[in-house]
Amino acid sequence: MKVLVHKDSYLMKKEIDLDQTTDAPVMDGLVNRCIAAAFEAFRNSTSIFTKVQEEHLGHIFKSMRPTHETIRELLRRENKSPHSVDAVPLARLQLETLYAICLVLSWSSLPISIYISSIHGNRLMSDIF
Amino acid sequence: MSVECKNLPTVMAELDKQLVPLEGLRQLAGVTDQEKITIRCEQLDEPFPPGVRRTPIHQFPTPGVALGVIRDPDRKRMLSRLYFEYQFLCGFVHFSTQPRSFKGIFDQREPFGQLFTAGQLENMFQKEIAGPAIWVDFLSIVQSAAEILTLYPSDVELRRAVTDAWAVLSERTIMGRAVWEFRAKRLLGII
Repeated sequence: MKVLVHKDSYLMKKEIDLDQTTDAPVMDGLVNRCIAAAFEAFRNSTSIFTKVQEEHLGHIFKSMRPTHETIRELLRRENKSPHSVDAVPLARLQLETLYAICLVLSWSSLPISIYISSIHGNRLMSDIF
Repeated sequence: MSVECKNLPTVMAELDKQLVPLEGLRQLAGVTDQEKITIRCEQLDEPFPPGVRRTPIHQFPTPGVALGVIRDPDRKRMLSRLYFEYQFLCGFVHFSTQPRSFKGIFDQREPFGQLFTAGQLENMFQKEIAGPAIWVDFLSIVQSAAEILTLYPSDVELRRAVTDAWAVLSERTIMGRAVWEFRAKRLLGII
Protein backbone atom coordinates (compact mmCIF):
# COMPACT_ATOMS: atom_id res chain seq x y z
CA MET A 1 0.00 0.00 0.00
CA LYS A 2 1.33 3.38 -0.98
CA VAL A 3 1.22 6.30 1.44
CA LEU A 4 1.15 9.82 0.05
CA VAL A 5 2.11 13.05 1.76
CA HIS A 6 -0.83 14.98 0.33
CA LYS A 7 -3.25 12.34 1.59
CA ASP A 8 -1.74 10.98 4.80
CA SER A 9 -0.11 13.95 6.52
CA TYR A 10 -1.76 16.21 9.12
CA LEU A 11 -1.83 19.97 8.61
CA MET A 12 -0.87 21.50 11.98
CA LYS A 13 -3.33 24.13 13.19
CA LYS A 14 -1.54 25.49 16.27
CA GLU A 15 2.05 26.20 17.14
CA ILE A 16 4.18 23.46 18.68
CA ASP A 17 7.21 24.12 20.87
CA LEU A 18 9.77 21.56 19.77
CA ASP A 19 12.30 22.82 22.33
CA GLN A 20 10.24 21.63 25.29
CA THR A 21 11.98 18.80 27.07
CA THR A 22 10.68 15.96 29.16
CA ASP A 23 12.90 14.31 31.75
CA ALA A 24 13.75 10.70 31.00
CA PRO A 25 12.51 9.43 34.40
CA VAL A 26 9.11 11.07 33.76
CA MET A 27 8.82 9.33 30.40
CA ASP A 28 9.99 6.04 31.91
CA GLY A 29 7.31 6.33 34.57
CA LEU A 30 4.60 6.92 31.97
CA VAL A 31 5.85 4.02 29.85
CA ASN A 32 5.89 1.68 32.82
CA ARG A 33 2.35 2.64 33.81
CA CYS A 34 1.03 2.07 30.27
CA ILE A 35 2.71 -1.32 29.97
CA ALA A 36 1.61 -2.45 33.42
CA ALA A 37 -1.98 -1.31 32.81
CA ALA A 38 -2.11 -3.05 29.42
CA PHE A 39 -0.66 -6.25 30.86
CA GLU A 40 -3.17 -6.20 33.70
CA ALA A 41 -6.03 -5.53 31.29
CA PHE A 42 -5.27 -8.76 29.43
CA ARG A 43 -5.82 -10.71 32.65
CA ASN A 44 -9.52 -10.04 32.09
CA SER A 45 -11.18 -12.26 29.55
CA THR A 46 -12.62 -11.00 26.31
CA SER A 47 -14.98 -12.80 23.99
CA ILE A 48 -12.54 -12.31 21.11
CA PHE A 49 -9.39 -14.07 22.29
CA THR A 50 -8.59 -17.36 23.97
CA LYS A 51 -6.74 -17.40 27.30
CA VAL A 52 -3.48 -18.35 25.57
CA GLN A 53 -3.90 -15.53 23.07
CA GLU A 54 -4.58 -13.03 25.86
CA GLU A 55 -1.42 -14.15 27.63
CA HIS A 56 0.54 -13.72 24.41
CA LEU A 57 -0.86 -10.24 23.96
CA GLY A 58 0.05 -9.32 27.53
CA HIS A 59 3.59 -10.53 26.95
CA ILE A 60 3.87 -8.53 23.73
CA PHE A 61 3.39 -5.46 25.93
CA LYS A 62 5.84 -6.70 28.54
CA SER A 63 8.46 -7.27 25.85
CA MET A 64 8.27 -3.59 24.88
CA ARG A 65 9.75 -2.60 28.23
CA PRO A 66 13.24 -4.17 27.84
CA THR A 67 13.45 -2.74 24.32
CA HIS A 68 12.56 0.68 25.75
CA GLU A 69 15.26 0.26 28.40
CA THR A 70 17.84 -0.77 25.78
CA ILE A 71 17.05 2.33 23.72
CA ARG A 72 17.47 4.44 26.86
CA GLU A 73 20.78 2.78 27.64
CA LEU A 74 22.14 3.32 24.13
CA LEU A 75 21.20 6.99 24.23
CA ARG A 76 22.56 7.88 27.68
CA ARG A 77 24.70 10.97 27.43
CA GLU A 78 27.80 9.18 28.68
CA ASN A 79 27.26 6.37 26.15
CA LYS A 80 27.03 8.67 23.13
CA SER A 81 29.06 6.94 20.46
CA PRO A 82 28.52 5.02 17.20
CA HIS A 83 26.67 2.44 19.32
CA SER A 84 23.90 4.97 19.95
CA VAL A 85 22.89 4.79 16.27
CA ASP A 86 21.57 1.27 16.88
CA ALA A 87 18.82 2.73 19.08
CA VAL A 88 16.97 3.70 15.88
CA PRO A 89 16.34 0.14 14.58
CA LEU A 90 15.08 -0.77 18.05
CA ALA A 91 12.56 2.07 17.84
CA ARG A 92 11.40 0.54 14.56
CA LEU A 93 10.76 -2.71 16.42
CA GLN A 94 8.52 -0.82 18.87
CA LEU A 95 6.63 0.79 15.99
CA GLU A 96 6.13 -2.61 14.35
CA THR A 97 4.54 -3.74 17.60
CA LEU A 98 2.00 -0.93 17.33
CA TYR A 99 1.13 -2.07 13.78
CA ALA A 100 0.80 -5.65 15.04
CA ILE A 101 -1.46 -4.66 17.94
CA CYS A 102 -3.67 -2.62 15.59
CA LEU A 103 -3.88 -5.52 13.15
CA VAL A 104 -4.75 -8.01 15.87
CA LEU A 105 -7.50 -5.73 17.20
CA SER A 106 -8.85 -4.96 13.74
CA TRP A 107 -9.15 -8.49 12.56
CA SER A 108 -10.58 -10.47 15.48
CA SER A 109 -8.52 -13.44 16.63
CA LEU A 110 -7.17 -14.51 13.24
CA PRO A 111 -3.96 -12.45 13.15
CA ILE A 112 -2.95 -13.38 16.69
CA SER A 113 -3.37 -17.05 15.85
CA ILE A 114 -1.27 -16.48 12.70
CA TYR A 115 1.28 -14.64 14.83
CA ILE A 116 1.53 -17.45 17.35
CA SER A 117 1.52 -20.26 14.81
CA SER A 118 4.01 -18.53 12.49
CA ILE A 119 6.47 -18.24 15.39
CA HIS A 120 6.10 -21.93 15.96
CA GLY A 121 6.25 -22.69 12.24
CA ASN A 122 9.61 -20.92 12.05
CA ARG A 123 10.78 -22.91 15.05
CA LEU A 124 9.71 -26.16 13.37
CA MET A 125 11.55 -25.18 10.21
CA SER A 126 14.76 -24.41 12.07
CA ASP A 127 14.43 -27.68 13.93
CA ILE A 128 14.11 -29.64 10.68
CA PHE A 129 16.95 -27.70 9.08
CA MET B 1 19.35 -28.52 12.67
CA SER B 2 18.50 -32.19 12.41
CA VAL B 3 19.24 -32.36 8.66
CA GLU B 4 22.67 -30.78 8.97
CA CYS B 5 23.53 -32.77 12.07
CA LYS B 6 22.06 -36.19 11.22
CA ASN B 7 25.54 -37.79 11.23
CA LEU B 8 26.41 -36.32 14.63
CA PRO B 9 24.98 -38.67 17.31
CA THR B 10 25.67 -36.41 20.30
CA VAL B 11 23.93 -33.41 18.72
CA MET B 12 21.04 -35.60 17.54
CA ALA B 13 20.60 -36.97 21.06
CA GLU B 14 20.28 -33.39 22.36
CA LEU B 15 17.78 -32.53 19.62
CA ASP B 16 15.72 -35.63 20.41
CA LYS B 17 15.35 -34.40 23.99
CA GLN B 18 13.64 -31.27 22.66
CA LEU B 19 11.00 -33.16 20.66
CA VAL B 20 8.52 -33.61 23.51
CA PRO B 21 8.51 -29.95 24.71
CA LEU B 22 8.46 -28.79 21.09
CA GLU B 23 5.41 -30.93 20.41
CA GLY B 24 3.69 -29.48 23.49
CA LEU B 25 4.49 -25.98 22.29
CA ARG B 26 3.12 -26.79 18.83
CA GLN B 27 -0.22 -27.85 20.28
CA LEU B 28 -0.33 -24.81 22.55
CA ALA B 29 0.37 -22.55 19.57
CA GLY B 30 -2.48 -24.16 17.64
CA VAL B 31 -0.31 -25.49 14.81
CA THR B 32 -2.30 -28.34 13.28
CA ASP B 33 -0.94 -31.76 12.28
CA GLN B 34 -1.51 -30.83 8.62
CA GLU B 35 0.51 -27.63 9.01
CA LYS B 36 3.32 -29.55 10.69
CA ILE B 37 3.36 -32.17 7.92
CA THR B 38 3.31 -29.41 5.28
CA ILE B 39 6.41 -27.77 6.74
CA ARG B 40 8.21 -31.09 6.94
CA CYS B 41 7.28 -32.26 3.43
CA GLU B 42 8.13 -28.91 1.81
CA GLN B 43 11.41 -28.44 3.63
CA LEU B 44 12.61 -32.00 3.07
CA ASP B 45 11.05 -32.40 -0.38
CA GLU B 46 9.12 -35.46 0.81
CA PRO B 47 5.80 -36.58 -0.70
CA PHE B 48 2.65 -35.71 1.26
CA PRO B 49 1.09 -38.73 3.00
CA PRO B 50 -2.15 -39.92 1.34
CA GLY B 51 -5.12 -37.81 2.39
CA VAL B 52 -3.03 -34.89 3.70
CA ARG B 53 -3.61 -31.58 1.94
CA ARG B 54 -0.90 -28.90 1.75
CA THR B 55 -1.72 -26.42 4.56
CA PRO B 56 0.89 -23.66 4.87
CA ILE B 57 1.08 -21.37 7.90
CA HIS B 58 0.57 -17.79 6.82
CA GLN B 59 3.22 -15.25 7.68
CA PHE B 60 2.19 -12.46 10.03
CA PRO B 61 1.68 -9.33 7.89
CA THR B 62 4.36 -6.65 7.75
CA PRO B 63 3.31 -3.01 8.45
CA GLY B 64 2.92 -2.31 4.72
CA VAL B 65 0.59 -5.29 4.29
CA ALA B 66 -1.24 -4.46 7.52
CA LEU B 67 -2.14 -1.03 6.12
CA GLY B 68 -4.02 -2.68 3.29
CA VAL B 69 -5.97 -4.92 5.66
CA ILE B 70 -7.00 -2.52 8.42
CA ARG B 71 -10.46 -1.08 7.82
CA ASP B 72 -11.12 1.29 10.75
CA PRO B 73 -10.63 4.72 9.09
CA ASP B 74 -9.01 6.50 12.09
CA ARG B 75 -6.69 3.63 12.81
CA LYS B 76 -5.75 3.37 9.15
CA ARG B 77 -5.10 7.10 8.95
CA MET B 78 -2.87 7.00 12.01
CA LEU B 79 -0.85 4.06 10.71
CA SER B 80 -0.58 5.63 7.25
CA ARG B 81 0.85 8.78 8.85
CA LEU B 82 3.26 6.70 10.92
CA TYR B 83 4.38 4.85 7.81
CA PHE B 84 6.51 7.87 6.93
CA GLU B 85 8.38 7.39 10.23
CA TYR B 86 8.52 3.66 9.58
CA GLN B 87 10.17 4.17 6.21
CA PHE B 88 12.73 6.51 7.78
CA LEU B 89 13.50 3.93 10.48
CA CYS B 90 13.81 1.16 7.89
CA GLY B 91 16.75 3.09 6.44
CA PHE B 92 18.63 2.14 9.62
CA VAL B 93 17.82 -1.55 9.29
CA HIS B 94 18.23 -2.38 5.62
CA PHE B 95 21.49 -1.79 3.85
CA SER B 96 21.74 1.95 3.38
CA THR B 97 24.15 4.81 3.88
CA GLN B 98 22.36 6.34 6.91
CA PRO B 99 23.57 4.12 9.76
CA ARG B 100 27.07 3.81 8.36
CA SER B 101 27.41 7.59 7.90
CA PHE B 102 26.17 8.38 11.41
CA LYS B 103 28.38 5.72 12.98
CA GLY B 104 31.34 7.34 11.26
CA ILE B 105 30.31 10.85 12.23
CA PHE B 106 29.85 10.00 15.92
CA ASP B 107 33.11 8.07 16.13
CA GLN B 108 35.83 10.33 17.48
CA ARG B 109 38.50 8.14 15.87
CA GLU B 110 37.08 8.73 12.37
CA PRO B 111 37.94 11.81 10.32
CA PHE B 112 34.27 12.61 9.42
CA GLY B 113 33.38 13.68 12.94
CA GLN B 114 36.12 16.28 12.92
CA LEU B 115 34.36 18.09 10.07
CA PHE B 116 31.68 19.23 12.54
CA THR B 117 31.73 21.40 15.65
CA ALA B 118 30.65 19.93 18.99
CA GLY B 119 27.41 21.91 18.74
CA GLN B 120 26.68 20.60 15.25
CA LEU B 121 27.35 17.04 16.35
CA GLU B 122 25.04 17.43 19.33
CA ASN B 123 22.33 18.94 17.15
CA MET B 124 22.68 16.15 14.58
CA PHE B 125 22.61 13.52 17.29
CA GLN B 126 19.42 14.92 18.82
CA LYS B 127 17.67 15.44 15.48
CA GLU B 128 18.65 12.29 13.61
CA ILE B 129 19.20 9.68 16.31
CA ALA B 130 17.99 10.44 19.83
CA GLY B 131 14.84 12.34 18.89
CA PRO B 132 13.37 9.77 16.49
CA ALA B 133 14.38 6.82 18.68
CA ILE B 134 12.98 8.28 21.92
CA TRP B 135 9.72 9.60 20.52
CA VAL B 136 8.89 6.66 18.24
CA ASP B 137 9.56 4.28 21.12
CA PHE B 138 7.41 6.35 23.50
CA LEU B 139 4.57 6.84 21.02
CA SER B 140 4.53 3.15 20.04
CA ILE B 141 4.17 2.00 23.64
CA VAL B 142 1.58 4.59 24.63
CA GLN B 143 -0.56 4.18 21.52
CA SER B 144 -0.38 0.36 21.68
CA ALA B 145 -1.81 0.62 25.19
CA ALA B 146 -4.39 3.16 23.99
CA GLU B 147 -5.53 0.81 21.23
CA ILE B 148 -6.56 -1.88 23.70
CA LEU B 149 -9.03 0.55 25.24
CA THR B 150 -11.22 -0.61 22.37
CA LEU B 151 -11.28 -4.01 24.10
CA TYR B 152 -11.47 -2.73 27.68
CA PRO B 153 -13.26 0.65 27.49
CA SER B 154 -14.12 0.67 31.19
CA ASP B 155 -10.60 -0.04 32.43
CA VAL B 156 -10.01 3.09 34.52
CA GLU B 157 -6.31 2.54 35.25
CA LEU B 158 -5.48 1.87 31.60
CA ARG B 159 -7.38 4.97 30.47
CA ARG B 160 -5.68 7.14 33.11
CA ALA B 161 -2.17 5.86 32.27
CA VAL B 162 -2.68 6.46 28.55
CA THR B 163 -4.28 9.88 29.06
CA ASP B 164 -1.37 11.06 31.26
CA ALA B 165 1.16 9.85 28.70
CA TRP B 166 -0.68 11.48 25.81
CA ALA B 167 -0.68 14.82 27.70
CA VAL B 168 3.11 14.82 27.17
CA LEU B 169 3.18 13.21 23.75
CA SER B 170 0.65 15.38 21.95
CA GLU B 171 2.48 18.62 22.78
CA ARG B 172 6.11 17.66 22.16
CA THR B 173 6.38 16.31 18.63
CA ILE B 174 4.84 16.84 15.22
CA MET B 175 4.37 13.09 14.83
CA GLY B 176 2.66 12.92 18.23
CA ARG B 177 0.34 15.81 17.38
CA ALA B 178 -0.67 14.14 14.10
CA VAL B 179 -1.44 10.80 15.77
CA TRP B 180 -3.33 12.61 18.53
CA GLU B 181 -5.51 14.41 16.00
CA PHE B 182 -6.02 11.42 13.69
CA ARG B 183 -6.75 8.82 16.34
CA ALA B 184 -5.80 9.13 19.99
CA LYS B 185 -8.08 11.95 21.12
CA ARG B 186 -11.21 10.19 19.85
CA LEU B 187 -10.05 6.91 21.34
CA LEU B 188 -9.74 8.59 24.73
CA GLY B 189 -13.06 10.37 24.33
CA ILE B 190 -11.50 13.84 24.19
CA ILE B 191 -13.00 15.67 21.23
